[in-house]
Amino acid sequence: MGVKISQEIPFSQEELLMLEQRFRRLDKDGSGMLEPNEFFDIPELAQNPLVQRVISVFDKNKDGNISFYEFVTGISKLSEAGSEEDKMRFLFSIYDIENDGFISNGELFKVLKMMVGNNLTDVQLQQLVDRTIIRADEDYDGKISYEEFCKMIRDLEIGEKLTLHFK
Amino acid sequence: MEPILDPLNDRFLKDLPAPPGRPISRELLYPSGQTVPNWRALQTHLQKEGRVLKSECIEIISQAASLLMSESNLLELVDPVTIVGDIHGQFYDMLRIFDLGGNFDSTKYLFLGDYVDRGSFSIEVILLLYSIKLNYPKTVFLLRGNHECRQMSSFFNFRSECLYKYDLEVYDMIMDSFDAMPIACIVNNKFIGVHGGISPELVSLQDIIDLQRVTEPPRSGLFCDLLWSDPVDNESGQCSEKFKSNEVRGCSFYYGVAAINSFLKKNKLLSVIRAHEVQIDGYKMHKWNGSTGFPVVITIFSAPNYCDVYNNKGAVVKFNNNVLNIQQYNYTVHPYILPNFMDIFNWSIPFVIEKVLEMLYQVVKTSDEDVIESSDKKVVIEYNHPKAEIFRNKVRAVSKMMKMLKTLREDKEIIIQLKGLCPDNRIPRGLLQQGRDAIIGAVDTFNKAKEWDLENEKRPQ
Repeated sequence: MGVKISQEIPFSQEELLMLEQRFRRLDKDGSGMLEPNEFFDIPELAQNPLVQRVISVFDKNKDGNISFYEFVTGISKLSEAGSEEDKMRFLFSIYDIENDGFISNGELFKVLKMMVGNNLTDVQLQQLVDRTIIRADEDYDGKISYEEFCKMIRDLEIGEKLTLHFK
Repeated sequence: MEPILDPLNDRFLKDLPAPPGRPISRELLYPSGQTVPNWRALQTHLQKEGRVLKSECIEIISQAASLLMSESNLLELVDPVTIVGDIHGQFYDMLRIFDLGGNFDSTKYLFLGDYVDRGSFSIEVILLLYSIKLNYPKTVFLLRGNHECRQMSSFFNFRSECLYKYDLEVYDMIMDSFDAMPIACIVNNKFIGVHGGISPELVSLQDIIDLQRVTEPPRSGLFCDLLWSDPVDNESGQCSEKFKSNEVRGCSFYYGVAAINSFLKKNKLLSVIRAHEVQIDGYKMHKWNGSTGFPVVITIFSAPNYCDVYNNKGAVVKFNNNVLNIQQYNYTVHPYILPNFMDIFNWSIPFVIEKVLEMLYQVVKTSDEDVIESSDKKVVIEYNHPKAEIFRNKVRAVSKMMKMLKTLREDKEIIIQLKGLCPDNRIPRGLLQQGRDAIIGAVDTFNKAKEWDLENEKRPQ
């Protein structure tokens, strides 16, 4: 399988070959696609609550699997070549389960619940969600748009932090 | 006011009432051109965690400040009156106090100060209290506590609460309104209500009347002592000097039985009713003239489960027909708040970043036996092949990034397992964590909390 290097992808031929090697290693059933269980089978990811979310965000055509193209594109957006907006959009998508361009009350609750587990009661979590939405929601529509999201976290310097630094 | 919209109808806990979606409207707060705020509507709104627009907030504060300014340093009241001690931003406990203390149409109220700091709802406490004061100017009275000043409220969390919910302008206005608060109150010509206690410079009540009160409380002197002093901490009130230097506070004095008796006798009073010190039962009778004598000092503390950790009861004094009753109560659950009012995004995103990078690292990392195959040829990359090393470096960079983020996250991380985390972040976390395992019984909790919190009773340098 040859891979076309397009301009957006910041990897050299050798790097792409190595990524392809990794991809094939993970692709245990040789289907040419990474199915979710091929990620979940990695033992170090067993305790990572966000694996499915990352898969869903990388999975652009929403077929439930990650193709090599989706794999490389996803990783490149989070590399040095990825823009601040690429990273912000990625983070926004983690929360936007339905992928409709808005983070709703229920989506925010669900994603937080994945991360928080039983460390907070549902009442406590719901109170935090409600209050965050009120704080972020400038147009009073009860949900958070991408712009409202960016405004909330502008002090976090996502561009630097969510970057795979390559020399 | 309507609760926040749920446009996708996916709000998880449908039975939990949602907060109002919009700030309280002008029409609701000032119906038909009323000049004083509708305090009942405000109370309902605030209780549901509704917000108030800055313009309305400023109006309430400045109106209240003018009213307070018109009062004397030393007030006078007759019973029936409910006397309330420290509240410290515990808005939901204050609502309980109103239920127990009697309704404002038939009961007078005397508040002894410390409305702000430590708890997370100081703004709500101030807005509601000021609104009530505006509605009941002659029967509800607010005295100044040692926390009602710039020094304390910026060292503790009220200033940051103001900046989070409003801005510096609102904070400054509230500070000015505190400057306007009266200092003490004579009740039934027999009791004096004041936040801290007496002073070596307090000979007669005229000394209080003569004070210049519209200022930040000074570091020493009569004004300071009235807000800061404490009764000496023993059964009999014995004290090596009349007034002993107060090292717990780092300023002002302890007063003993000799000081109290001479003050009460000179001014023909029976007792000092004061607040300022947390009490496990919510109150303390300092019976320094024997157990059958009337207590010469009564401490009342109205913030139950102070700082979410002391596990104390709160109490108020209900004074009627010259009879003094104490009403105790337990704490009321309040909405859950992250320290510094952090929102869910700022809280969770460092964790999200860490988990995403962790996942990517696991996915892209190589091992020593990697073989690069292409469709054209097999290229075996030996361990010391320069390109393999570069790629390995890049992967190593990912893991370094993760380590850095881990530390970053720990800085931001709230120890959510610790349900009793002190809301203003001032009780040292480590101690609290250790102590939680060892704690058995309420008294032990209270004493431990008091011990660890001791630094915070001191006036900042």
